[in-house]
Amino acid sequence: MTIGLAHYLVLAAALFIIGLIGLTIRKNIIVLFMCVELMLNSANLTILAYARQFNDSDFHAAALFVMVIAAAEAALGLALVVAMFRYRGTADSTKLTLLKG
Amino acid sequence: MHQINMNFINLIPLFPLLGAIFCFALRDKKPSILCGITASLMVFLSFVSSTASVFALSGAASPAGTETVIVSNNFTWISAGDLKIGCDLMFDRLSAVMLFVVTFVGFLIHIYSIGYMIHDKDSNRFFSYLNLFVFFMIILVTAKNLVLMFVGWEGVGLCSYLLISFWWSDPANAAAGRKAFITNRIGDFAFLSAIFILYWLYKSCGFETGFDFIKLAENFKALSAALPSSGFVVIVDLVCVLLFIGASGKSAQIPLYVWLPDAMAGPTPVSALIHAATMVTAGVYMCVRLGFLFAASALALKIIAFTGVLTAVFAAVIAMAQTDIKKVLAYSTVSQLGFMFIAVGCGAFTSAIFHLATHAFFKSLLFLGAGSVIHSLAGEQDIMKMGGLRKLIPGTFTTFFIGVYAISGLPLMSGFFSKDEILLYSFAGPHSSAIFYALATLASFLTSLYMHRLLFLVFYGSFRGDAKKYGHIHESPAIMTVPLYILAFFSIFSGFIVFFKSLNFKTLLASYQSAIAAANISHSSEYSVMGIALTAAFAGLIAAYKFYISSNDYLSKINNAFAAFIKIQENKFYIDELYDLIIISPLKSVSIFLHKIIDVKFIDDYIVGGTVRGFKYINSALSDAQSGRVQGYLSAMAAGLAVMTVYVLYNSIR
Amino acid sequence: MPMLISSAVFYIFAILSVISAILTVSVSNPVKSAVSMIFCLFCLAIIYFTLGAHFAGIIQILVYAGAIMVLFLFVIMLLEKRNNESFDDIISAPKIISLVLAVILLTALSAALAASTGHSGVFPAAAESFGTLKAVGSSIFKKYIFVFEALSALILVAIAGVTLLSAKNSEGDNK
Repeated sequence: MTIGLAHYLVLAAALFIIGLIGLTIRKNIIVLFMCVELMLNSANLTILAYARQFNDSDFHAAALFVMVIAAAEAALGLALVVAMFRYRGTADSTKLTLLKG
Repeated sequence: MHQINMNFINLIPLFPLLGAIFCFALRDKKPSILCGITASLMVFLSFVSSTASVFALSGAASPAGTETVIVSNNFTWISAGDLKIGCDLMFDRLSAVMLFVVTFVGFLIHIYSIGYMIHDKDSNRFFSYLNLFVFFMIILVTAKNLVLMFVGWEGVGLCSYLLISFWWSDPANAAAGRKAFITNRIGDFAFLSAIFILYWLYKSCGFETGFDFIKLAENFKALSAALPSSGFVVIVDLVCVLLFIGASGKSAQIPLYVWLPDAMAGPTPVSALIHAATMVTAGVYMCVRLGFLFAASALALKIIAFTGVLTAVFAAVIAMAQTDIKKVLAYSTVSQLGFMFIAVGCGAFTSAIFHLATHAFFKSLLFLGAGSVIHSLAGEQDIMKMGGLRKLIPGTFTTFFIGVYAISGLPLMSGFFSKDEILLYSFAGPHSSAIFYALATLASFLTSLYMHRLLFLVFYGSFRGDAKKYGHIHESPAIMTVPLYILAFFSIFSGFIVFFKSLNFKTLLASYQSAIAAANISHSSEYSVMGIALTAAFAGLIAAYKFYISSNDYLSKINNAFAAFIKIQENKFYIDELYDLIIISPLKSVSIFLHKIIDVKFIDDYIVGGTVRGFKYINSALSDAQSGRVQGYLSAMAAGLAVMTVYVLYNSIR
Repeated sequence: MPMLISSAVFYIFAILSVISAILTVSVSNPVKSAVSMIFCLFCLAIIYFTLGAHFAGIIQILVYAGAIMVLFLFVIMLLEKRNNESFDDIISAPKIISLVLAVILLTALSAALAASTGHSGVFPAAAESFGTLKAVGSSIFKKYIFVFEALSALILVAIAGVTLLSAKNSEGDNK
C-alpha cells in the first residue's frame, strides 16, 4: 500500500471541513480562531503535498509565508478579541449581531 | 430653398424665457412694478431681435428664384436610431409676420397688463406665465421641425391653462382651465397621430427628414412619385384631416370650440393675447406652414373650408345673443378664426395669414378696450348694465369704435382689406365654391351686426346699471390707454400693407403657395365682391342701429316673434349640454366603473396589494436570514460550496 | 525508509491529527481545545516530515505549536473566564445541517480526488536538494525576496495594530 498525493489531499480536505464545521457551530471566538488555524494548516498541507509531487522547494517558501500570515492574523485577531471582551464583556459570537438586518 | 446660418435668432425666444424665470423666482415676493417692466422689456427685446432678423433676411443675397431662410442649427434633441430631430430654429417670411404679431402685440399687452394687474397680489406670477407663453409661442413659430413645433404647441396650451385658471381659488375658473386643456388634448392627439403617420410615410420611402419643414417640403414631390397615386392621396388626406383636427382644437373650430368662451375666465389681457391674437391662430399658422401638404389634399381643404364657414356663421349667431362683453368677443374670435380657415380651405394661404395679422390687432384692441371698460366699471361685465359710456371714457370709446369699425369690414380699415381678400378667394379662388362664398358673406353681415350691437349697447343710449356706480366711472390710466391708441393705429393702417408692393406681402409665402395654381381673378369679380361685402357690412351697421338705437320696437317685436329661438341662442344652442350628455356622462360612468371595479378592486387590491404582500412575505423571510450571526452566513457559504462541488463533480463524471 | 513504515507513519499520524482536530472543535473547555490543537499541530509536523518538508515541519513546531498556540492559551487565561460553552442544545438544527454539509463536502471532495487521475499513485523520486534548508533559503531570499519583505511589513503593521488596539482601549477605560 503506497501513499500518494491523493491521501494527503483527502487528509487536508478532512481537516479543512472539520475546521469549517467548527467555525459554524462553536460560539467561543477564541475557539473559532483555532478553527481558522486548522483550516490554514490544511491549506499548508496541500501546498507541501504538491511540493513533493512537483519536486519544487519554492512551495516550501509559500508554506512558510502562510505561517507568517497566520501568526499575524492570530496576533491581531486575539487583540481584537481582548478589546471586544473589555468593551462588551463577552466572547460569545452569538451575542455579536451588529450586522442584523 | 437657400439657407443661411445665423445663430442670433436664438435670442428671440431667449429673452422671454429669461423674463419668465426671473418673474417666477419672485413669485412669492411682494408684487411690484419691477416684474411687469422686466417682462415687458424682455418681450420688447425679443421684438427688436426679430426686427433685426427681418433686416438680415431681406439683406441676405439669395440665388434667383429661391427663398432665403435664416436657420440656426443648435443641437440634436432626439436621436433614436436613424431618426435625428434637432432643436433648431428657422426664420422665414412667414415666421417674420407671426413674430411681428406675437412680439409687438405681446409687448403692448404686457404694457397694458402693468396697469391692469398692478393691484393683484399675484402679479409677479402672472407676468412669469405671460412671458413663458411668449417664449413657447416663439418656439412654435420659429421651430424648424414639426416635433419642436409640437413642443411650442403644447407649451402654449400649458400657459393657456395656467392663465385661464390664474384666479384658481374660484372653482369655476379652475374648471374653465381644465376644459380648455382637455379639449385641446383631443386635438393634440390627432396632431400627434398625424406626426406619426408622416414619419411612417417618409420613412417607408427612405427619406430621412427629421421632420424638418424644409426637407419635408423638398422631398414631398419625390414622395408622391415614389408611391402609387391612389394610396398616396388617401394617406395625405388622412394626415391633413388629422392635422386639421389638431388645428381645430387649438383654433377653436367646430366641434372643439367650446373651450374658448369659457377661457374668458382668465384676466382680460390673457384673453387679448392668448385667446384672440396669438395662440388660437396657431392652428392657422400650422396649416399654412404645412401648406405643401394641404395643397395636395383636396378633401382636407374642402373639410377645412366647410368647417370654417360653418364655425364663422354659427359662432356669429351665438355672439348675437350673448350679454357678457367678453363672451361676445370670444364668439367673435371663433367666428373670425372660421374666416381664416375659409381662406386656408380655399387655398388662399396668404390671405389667411393676412387676416390673422389684422385680426390680431383689432381683436386684441377690442379685448383690451373691453378690459378697460370692465376696469372703469369695477368689474362689471354685463352689457345690459352698461350704456352711455361714450362721454365718460372717451379714450376707450374712440379706440373701441375703431376696433368695431375694423372688424366689421367697413371701408379703408384693415379688416376690410383682409376680409375682402378671403371673400374674393372663396368666390374665385382655386378651391372656391358658391356656397362658401354665400355663407361667408352672411357671416360678414352678422359680424357687423353683433359688433355694432355691442358698441351701441355699451357706449350709446343711457346708463342701465346701478346708479350709485355711475359717479365712480373713470377713464383707465395712461399705461392702459396708450397701448389702445397704438393698436388702434395699426387696426386702421395695417391693411394698407397690400398697397406696398415693395414689402412683397403678396408673395410672402411664394414657396408654399406655388403648390396651388395661381388663380386668375378678373377685376370685375374683384369689384363686385368688394361691393357686396361693403353692402353686407353697412347692412349690419344699419340693422344694429335700427334695433338698438333708433327704437326698441323692432327689437321687442323680434324678441317676441323668435322668443324660443333666442332662448336657444342665448344658451349657445345647448352645445355644452349636448357634449355633456353624449360624451361626458358615458365617460363618467365608465370612469366610475373603472375606478370602483378595475382600479380599487383589481389593480389596487390584487396587483398592487398582492405585490406588496408578496414582497412583505419575502422581506420578512430575508430579514430573518439577516440575523447578524456571521456563522449563519458562513453556513450558507459552506452550503453553496457543497452545491458547487457536487455540481462540478457531477459534470466531470458525466 | 521502507515503504511499509512510511505508510504506517502516515496513517497513524493522519488519524491522530483528525481525531485531535475533532476534539479541538468539540470539547467545551477552551483550554482543552487549545491543547488538542497543539497535539494536532505536532501530528501535522510529522506528516510534513514524511513529505520531505523538514524545515516547514520544524517551523510548524517552533512557531505554531510553540508560539502561536501559547498566545492562544495566554489569551484564554487572560480573559479568565471558564465559560465552558453550554452544550445543552447538543442536537440543534444548525449543528445537524453543518454535519450533513460536512459529510456531503467530504464525500464529494474525496470522490473528486479519486476521480482525478492526474496525481494519483506514488510520488516521483525526490531530488537531492529537495526540502533542504539551502534550497528553501535560496527560494525565500532570492526568488521571493519581495514577498518576504512585504510580509515583514505586514507583520510590522500587525504589531502596530495590536499596540494601537490595546492603547486605545486603555485610553477609553481611563475616560
